[in-house]
Parts: sequence; C-alpha cells; structure tokens
Amino acid sequence: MALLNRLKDLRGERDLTQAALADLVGVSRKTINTVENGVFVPSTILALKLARALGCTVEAIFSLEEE
Amino acid sequence: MTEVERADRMSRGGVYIKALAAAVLLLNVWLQYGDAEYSAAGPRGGSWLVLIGLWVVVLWTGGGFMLSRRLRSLLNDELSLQNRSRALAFGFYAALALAMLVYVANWYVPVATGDAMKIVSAGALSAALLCYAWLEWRWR
Repeated sequence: MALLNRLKDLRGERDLTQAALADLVGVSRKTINTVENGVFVPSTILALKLARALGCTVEAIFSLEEE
Repeated sequence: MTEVERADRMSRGGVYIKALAAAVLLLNVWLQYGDAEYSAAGPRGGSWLVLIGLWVVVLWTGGGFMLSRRLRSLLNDELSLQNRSRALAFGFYAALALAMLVYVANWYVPVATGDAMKIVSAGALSAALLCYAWLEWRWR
C-alpha cells in the first residue's frame, strides 16, 4: 500500500520554499525534497512537525493509496 | 545564508570529499599492491590503519565535530541517518564479499596478509563511502 502526500501542494499554498520549510522543522532541504517525491517516508515525529509547521493535520499531508 | 542553505552546501561538499577519498583509497591499494613496506607493521602500515579508522568514525558518526549543534543536526537529519546506515550495511557486505574473494584467490595466487587486509578494508570502506555519496547526491 503506497503512501501518498500533498506536501508540495500544501507548501506551495503557504508560499514556502523547501529551504524555508526545512528550517521550520529542523531538517535539511534534501529531506523535504525526498518526502515530496515519495522517496523517503518520514518518521512520525517529522510528520507531526511538518503538520505543525503547515498548520494542518498529518492526515491532510499523508494518506494511504486506496486499493 | 541560512543554516539550512549552509548545511545543503556542506552536504554537497561532503559527497565529493567522500567520493574522492574512496578513489584515493582504491588507487592506493592498486599502486601499492605487493609492496611489503606498505603492508608491514611499520609507520606506513600503522598510518593506513589510522586512516581507515578515521574514515570509519566519520562514516559512523557523520563527522562535523567542530560545527554548531544546529548545523550538525541538519547534516545528520533522519534522511542522512538512514543513508548512513544503508551505506554501512553495504560496506559490511562488501567486506564479506571481498574477504571471500581474497580467500578463494589465494588458492591460485599468493596474497600477502598485509595486502589482503588492505584489499578488504579499503574495498569495504570505499564501497560504503561511495554508497553514501550516491545516496546523498541523488536527491540533492
């Protein structure tokens, strides 16, 4: 079951660059890039930090692909 | 320049340094193969062990001991930690494969103990360094 994410869209809606979001959550820009591209599945802690930085729920960012 | 941008730049620099270090280690093994001076338990052999040990420490810990805590945490975030553990696992399997290769090769050609140790240690470390460099570079 694949993990989908709307991180790029949500970040764009808030006019945040990858570097700015990375700064907010305390990770490298590369990590944000890999999460957006679905290459890297973040930990629960990072997912919660991303949600807090974007002012939304974790479920608004990540979801499971329907089979 | 923000710390995230600085970490980005340092991470990219680290990729090239690790790839270069791997190339130098392999070149050294190739050029010095069969030279007893380099494999003997003297200053050269000892320096080699220290060099290998230092690179293992860098790969294991992420290095950057003189950097600020924030920069170090950016350079060692969870993606980099994952990449490092994958690289170390790759190096471990490379060491196993190289050790078996040297073992089998020694049935046909004589290989000095020092040379065998250099082949296995440099080969495994280079494999780990190149693996890490590749993982870090590919989604930069």
